[in-house]
Amino acid sequence: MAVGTAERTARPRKVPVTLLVNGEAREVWIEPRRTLLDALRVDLGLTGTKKGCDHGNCGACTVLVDGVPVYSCLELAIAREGQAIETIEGLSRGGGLHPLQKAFVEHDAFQCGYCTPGQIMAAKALIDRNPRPTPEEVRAALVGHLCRCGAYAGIVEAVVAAGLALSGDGGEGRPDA
Amino acid sequence: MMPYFTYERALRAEEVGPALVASGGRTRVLAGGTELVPLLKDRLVKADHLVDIRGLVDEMGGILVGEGGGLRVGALVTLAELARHPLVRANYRALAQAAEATASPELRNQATLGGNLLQLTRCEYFRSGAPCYLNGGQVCFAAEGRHERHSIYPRGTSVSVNPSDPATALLAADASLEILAPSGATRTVPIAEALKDPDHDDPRFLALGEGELIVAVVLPPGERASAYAKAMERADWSFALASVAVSLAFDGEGRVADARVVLGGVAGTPRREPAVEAALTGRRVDRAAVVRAAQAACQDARPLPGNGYKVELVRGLLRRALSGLASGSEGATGRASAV
Repeated sequence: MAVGTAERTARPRKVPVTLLVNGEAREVWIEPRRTLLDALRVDLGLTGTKKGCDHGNCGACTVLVDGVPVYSCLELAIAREGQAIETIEGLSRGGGLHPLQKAFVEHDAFQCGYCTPGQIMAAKALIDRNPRPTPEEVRAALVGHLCRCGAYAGIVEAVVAAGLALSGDGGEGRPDA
Repeated sequence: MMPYFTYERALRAEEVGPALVASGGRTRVLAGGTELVPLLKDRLVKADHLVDIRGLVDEMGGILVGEGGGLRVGALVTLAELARHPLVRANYRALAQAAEATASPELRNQATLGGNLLQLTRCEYFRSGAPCYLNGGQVCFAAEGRHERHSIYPRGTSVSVNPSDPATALLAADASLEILAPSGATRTVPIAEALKDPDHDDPRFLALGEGELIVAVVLPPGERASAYAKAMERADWSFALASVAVSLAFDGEGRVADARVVLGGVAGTPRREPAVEAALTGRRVDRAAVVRAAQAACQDARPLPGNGYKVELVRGLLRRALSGLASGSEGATGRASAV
């Protein structure tokens, strides 16, 4: 094969891949067809990231790659070797909840909780670059996340509140709902 | 579960085409993965080897100002990058709007422009693996079955519609595709010539030869005002039931000197509407002109029994897009912010 690189595998078999997950280099032995989602859940035991549709139609599997939210069910793990992957497990600090997680609890932003890790990761990407989003900006950033319990109103409130908490604003100057 | 395949990262674009040809169709190109990965999971395409081209950013990435103006948009540019690029937003607003109207933020972060143009039909019969023309069978189930989202200009074997929002805007922008052949030769083809209906021999919506790669999309220079409008069955994150892209050049008097009006989601290819273009040319874009031009659309449509609603949908979208470009309005300068 003309394209040949050292990374070509001779036949379909497991290969070593080093994933940089939540700041830690983790080696997994996986087939090239392994999705990033399955590598996280099955090979690394990080089951916080959820599998919903497995086809990029629900948003439950969202993780950050180099700070950008992506659907991990559509990514091959081998193709993301060496890039910074952030999952819901990476959010808590010193055993405590991240402000986004706290806000989701306080604002009734979930019922069953299955979509919540994906929602929170997308929300984290948003408030990392825009700490005080308007409700409209939150809705635009989270449009790729279905919540079949219908907790959308609480989710938007939670993200706005978490942004304020993280930017050191206890609620003063909150954008209009 | 996807079939077994091997994986490699391509190092040079020139090496990909020959590898595709040599594999006899068993090697597939991976870029954003948002289309290929679900197709592999559903066994709708076969592959025993993937060549990942996402690292070829020197040859196929980036948005550059071309010679004599215009832009060269690398095929690996993501829809998110396209939608937020200042020069795209300023000078090719319909394209920025079409990119931003595509899918969800996550999918736009992953999906590339080249891959978006090469996606296959969203027809649920095809996607469920039914043995239709596009899956190697001898029937189009949608023609006689559920076809609310399908063509109102049925022709050929499949009544599928091109699902790409950017394709519609690119035809309105008179864009061209820079295509790399396996021989190493590069050709530039107007997108109007590259767009085709999907068929039994090739389910894609673009006419590409074996082993050919889209390297870039070339946008011509020129001061034009443009807008994209899209109707979906929910407010966001859905394919177009119908869409319109309008690109206008004005003369010094505020009259339309040249109009390009394209309909999306209604046929196997994005479709220019000469009757609407003629109704606009030489006129100021005022309320009366908008209404008359919109009414000229789809006069020759032949809807299937279940999708006649698309005719009025297109006319409403045209009124919306054209109203934003009304003579003397901010939109007519082409400088208004996208969406």
